[in-house]
Parts: sequence; C-alpha cells; structure tokens
Amino acid sequence: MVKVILAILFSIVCQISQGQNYMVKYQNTSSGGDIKTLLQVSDSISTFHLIPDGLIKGTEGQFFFMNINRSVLYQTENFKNLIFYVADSLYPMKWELLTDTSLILKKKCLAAKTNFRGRKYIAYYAPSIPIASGPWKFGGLPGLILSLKAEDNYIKWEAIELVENYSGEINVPDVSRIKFINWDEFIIKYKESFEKLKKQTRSDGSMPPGSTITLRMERTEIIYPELSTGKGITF
Amino acid sequence: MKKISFLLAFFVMISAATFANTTHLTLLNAENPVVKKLIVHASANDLQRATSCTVTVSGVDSQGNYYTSTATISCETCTSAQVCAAAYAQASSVVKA
Repeated sequence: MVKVILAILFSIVCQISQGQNYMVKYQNTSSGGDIKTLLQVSDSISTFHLIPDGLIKGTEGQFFFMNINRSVLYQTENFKNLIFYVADSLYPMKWELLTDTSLILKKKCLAAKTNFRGRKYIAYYAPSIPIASGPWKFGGLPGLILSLKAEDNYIKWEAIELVENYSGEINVPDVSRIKFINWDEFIIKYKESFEKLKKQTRSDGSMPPGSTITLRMERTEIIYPELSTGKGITF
Repeated sequence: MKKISFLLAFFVMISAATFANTTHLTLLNAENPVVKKLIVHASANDLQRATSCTVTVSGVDSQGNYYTSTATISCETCTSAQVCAAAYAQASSVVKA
C-alpha cells in the first residue's frame, strides 16, 4: 500500500516538474492612471489580477482565472451592485500575425493584431516563450504576449517583469458550486440591468424635477454600444 | 451594503458644463474616501443657475480594467449644485463600490 502511495506521489511530482510556470507583471496605462497587474500561468491554470496597492480595497468575492484544459475563462462581472458569474470562451479573439518586431524585456517579439469586442488591439508576443497566454483575456498566440495596446489608447498593457520557472502558488477559488452564465447571456443581463437602472433612477426621486440624464459608460469590452459610444443614452 | 468591488482611486471630474466661460472649482467630498478630487467647470458669472452639468467617474476593477461613467444632467430650473450633485450621484453609482 505504501509503495502504491509513493508511486502516485512520485508520478504527481514528475508531472508538476515537467510543466514550466510563468509570472508576468504588466504596467497598465489608461486615461485613469497607471496600475500594475499580475499574470500567473501553469500548464492548466492561468490567473490575472490587479496588484493591490494602498488604494485598492475590497476585491473579495471577485475572481478571474482560466482553466486551460477546459478552455474556459471563469470570471466575475459587475453592474452597479449586481455580480454576475460568467464562463467565457478561452481566447475567443482571432489574430492576424504581422511581421513587425520589438524587443521587450530582452525578448524578441512579433506583432499581431485583433479586433476584440469593439476595440482594435496590437500585441507583441515572444515566440521564445511558447505559451499562449497574455494579459487579461488575451492569448492564443504562438508565444506569451508581453505588450498589448488598444488602437484608440483606451488601455495598454506592457510587461515590466517576467519570471520563468515561477515557483509561486497559483491559487484559484473553488467555483464548483457556482452557476455560471455564458458571455451572450451576460450581455442580455447587462442590458436588462441598465433598463432597470433607468426605471429606478426615474422613480426613486434622486433626479431633480424636470431634468434629463444622459449616461455613458465605457469599459474595455464594448458590450452595449449605445451606452459606450457617442453621447450615451438619454432618459 | 457590499456593492461591486471597483475600488481603486476614483478620479472624479465634473467637466464640460454648458457654459461659454468656465472657471474651475475644486471640491472635496469627505463622505467618499475613494474620491480624490472633484473639479467643477462652471460659469464664472452665473454659478447658481447651471442648466447642465457633466460628471465623469472612473474606477478600476480587480482585473485592472478601467470603467468610466459619465452622467450629464440637464435641467432648466435647477441650480448648479443640484445638477452637479445629481450627475455625480448617477455617474458614481454605477461604478463605485
């Protein structure tokens, strides 16, 4: 019995040692300021999150991780005080590979571009790091994405630190009891939530009498174009 | 009440009110510790009778994504305080925790 257990443990250790883990810190830049984010990747799991500083609080209950074997991204999405549990496709964007090159963290990178949920992006990935990950939801290229920028400058990620053979723990929450919706269902619920917000705003007395409101909400993924572009929605 | 957890620095700007001549007022909102500053662009000669006010609130979620909410309140019979307060309330309510 002991031999069997030892054999199983040895097998597990061998499997773990075969896979190489990575950690990448990115500098996020947008009109809202600069922050840092962290990507941790193993053979089967990838996580991505904000690196807390003194200004960040209260992100408990939120998660964002990829089950690479199942090709699923599990994440929380928010609208006002609502939280949605969304199971999204892994790397749903389609890339066009380009010939431009760049040197990032001493790694030769090649360019690729994509159009993802309302914005155009250009990425630089390192073929010498043969994993298909990248910042946030981005990936699917033949190498780790070290730089990614929206063409409209809404957001940019630039790798500032790369650790190969990363030995840190990659923790993901137990989501086995959570009921997830897919991305299309989330879009429907997001729009329904906005319609409820409009009605509530008009009925709760928070608006001055005789006033009109125009609301515009920008986010990285444009999932409600009428709300995210132009002047927004007036009600 | 725990709301969404966008909790980084919130940069609040009240801007682009419908005035030809603008001046800048800096207000502090002590009730909301995540608000760094509140800047009002309003008429220098008629601060009491604004007809509209626009407020933009930005926040960051736990994945580092930026969310920006802009609310414009228009009201012919309101004061600048009324429209700007309402615009701030609306813009921040959909972004902040």
